[in-house]
Amino acid sequence: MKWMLNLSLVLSVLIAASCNKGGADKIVIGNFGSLTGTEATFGVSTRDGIILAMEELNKNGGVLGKQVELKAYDNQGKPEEARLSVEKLINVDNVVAVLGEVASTRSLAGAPVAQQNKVPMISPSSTNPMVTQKGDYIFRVCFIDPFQGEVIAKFAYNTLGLRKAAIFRDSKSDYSMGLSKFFENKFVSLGGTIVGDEKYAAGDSDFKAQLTNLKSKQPEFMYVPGYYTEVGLIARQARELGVKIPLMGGDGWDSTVLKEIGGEAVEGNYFSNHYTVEDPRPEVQNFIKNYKARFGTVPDSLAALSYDSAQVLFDSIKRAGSVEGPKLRDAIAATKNFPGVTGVITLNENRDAVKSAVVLQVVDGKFKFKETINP
Amino acid sequence: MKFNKTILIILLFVVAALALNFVMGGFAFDMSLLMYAKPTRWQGLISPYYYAVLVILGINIVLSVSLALLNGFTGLFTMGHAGFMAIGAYTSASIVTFMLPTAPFFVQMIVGSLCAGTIAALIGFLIGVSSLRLNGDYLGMVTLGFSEIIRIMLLNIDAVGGARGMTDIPQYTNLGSVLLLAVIVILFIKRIRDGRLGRAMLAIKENEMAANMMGINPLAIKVKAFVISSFIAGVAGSFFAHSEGYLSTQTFTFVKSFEVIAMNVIGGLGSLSGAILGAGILTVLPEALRKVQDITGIDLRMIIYALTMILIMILRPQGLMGNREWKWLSSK
Repeated sequence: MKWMLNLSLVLSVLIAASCNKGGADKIVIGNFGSLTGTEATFGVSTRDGIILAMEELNKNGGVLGKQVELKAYDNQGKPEEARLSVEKLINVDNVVAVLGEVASTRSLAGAPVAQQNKVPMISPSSTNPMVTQKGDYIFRVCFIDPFQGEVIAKFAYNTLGLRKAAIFRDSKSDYSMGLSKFFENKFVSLGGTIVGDEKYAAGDSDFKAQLTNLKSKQPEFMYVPGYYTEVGLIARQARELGVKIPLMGGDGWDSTVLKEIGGEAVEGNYFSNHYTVEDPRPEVQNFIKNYKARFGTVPDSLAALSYDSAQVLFDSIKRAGSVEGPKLRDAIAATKNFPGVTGVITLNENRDAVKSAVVLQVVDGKFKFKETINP
Repeated sequence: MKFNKTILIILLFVVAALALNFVMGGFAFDMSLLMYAKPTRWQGLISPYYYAVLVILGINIVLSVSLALLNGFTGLFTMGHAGFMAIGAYTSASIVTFMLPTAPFFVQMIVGSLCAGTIAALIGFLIGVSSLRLNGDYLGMVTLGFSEIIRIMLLNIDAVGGARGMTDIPQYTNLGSVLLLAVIVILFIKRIRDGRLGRAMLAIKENEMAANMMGINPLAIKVKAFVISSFIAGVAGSFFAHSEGYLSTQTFTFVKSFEVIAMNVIGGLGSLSGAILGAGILTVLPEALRKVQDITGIDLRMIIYALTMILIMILRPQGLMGNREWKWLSSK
């Protein structure tokens, strides 16, 4: 019966361990991410962004007169561990809010736990629309994919003064179809016209038939919200056909491979993105300086988004004057015009961020900052 | 009288599981809490986090024990257990979500897990039959391939969520039902091991040709081992799906298969107690090590975890239990 003794020992340790309580002089926030595993860089950047925001806050006296402490747990990139980490953060560490995750799958695994326990959760960078539909305690500070379509519509109409657009979309991808739909709605409502609309399927390599068709409609620019592989080829073939108008797209273009495939043809084209290190706004430049001083690397967009998620949380705690779940939830939901690194953040009724995006231009194979577009 | 004794033991464990769940689940005389509902925040003795760890522990014990039948007793080195688990998980989640969304929980549980087990066993049968000529590492490769094929297929079925994952699966698995399942599976495997089938399996593991000479049909025995093992893995997958409430194919990569193999190896290949002990260590250790982070400040969890596994293998290459069993699991 030795095993029974062992079992009872283990259980008593578990019970004893579960009875500890966090100190009341600190506000504990939680973060779960893949700090090890194949997506470790995402998790580490995200955690570092939060650490930076927290240290800056603590240096200035904390929030509600208390210092903030971060509990960051690794989930090895596994959904089931993500759920366990959130259970531990909420029920053992008594965190007031959870920040995470990067990947939508792991946010979806963790969100129900936060919702059941009425602890607010802010995802810095999960773009799948389903994440915040899990409940009224789940928020995000990044824009959902389709919003980028509106950004380019505004940029083309207002900044470049273009009126006639053609759309060339990927019929196989939700992302491309969503962006195209929102682009079309916005551009038409601004007063522009869509003169041509053609489709391709990811994996195609010959686009000349559709491009010739679109060329004959004489658009002033072409919207190609696809991924960099096809976009590179499309740009190349468009230039070969003598199409001189600019091409535009979304963050699916954001890869150095775009230049390798498209070569000279992608020069001068525009796409929308979350954030760029070239943005001259003081929030961005200060963040980059401080991040470099603390961690020694240039922050990527995941670090910027997690920094923003932490800032939004601290701001909400301040406004709520309390760390109780329901009050904090209401305060986060009321976030309006918050000046973050990745843009001015307002949360809408779906708890998704409505915020500014940046438009970048390809110049000499690099992505140059062009303009910030507000919603 | 042996049969009666087994029934007695099962009943004893049922009572124990119910009592444990009663204590941990908040001292409620509520049938739903006893067998299917999860306690919410701090209703019971322990926090929902430890409760969730115990549920995962139960599922991992079932997985580990079912693999012990294949790897440990029959000597078939397979690396595709995550695939069977995935089939079970997705089958049960689909059936319960799409066909029985309003049925009472015990109907959902029984129909879900039986269908999960059956479909997994069917696939296990096909894999078993089609790879019978293979041995050792080759069988391992084939099963690894099969489990990846299953995963990629699920990844491309939009009805079960594809890459996004399947959400809103009814969560009725709780500690009571998982412990009950674990006990039934352990005793079931123990009886197989001590019976004619188990003897034949052990004989095949030691020397297939000699076993054949003694009148054992190795092919039939191997297929039986495959079917039983994949059935149980499928049921474990079903319980997993309904404890998580969310399924993503990221869970069922080959890493999961290797985790289950590691549970067997650390505990001792060929030992039922070892499989249970290994599952216990590999489930509790990573979670227990989260505490270390509070002291050291940096996350050394995976380093300590890996070092522990290496040390166990250096100091006890035969596994913690070796070939021995705990008294209540030994064959007389």
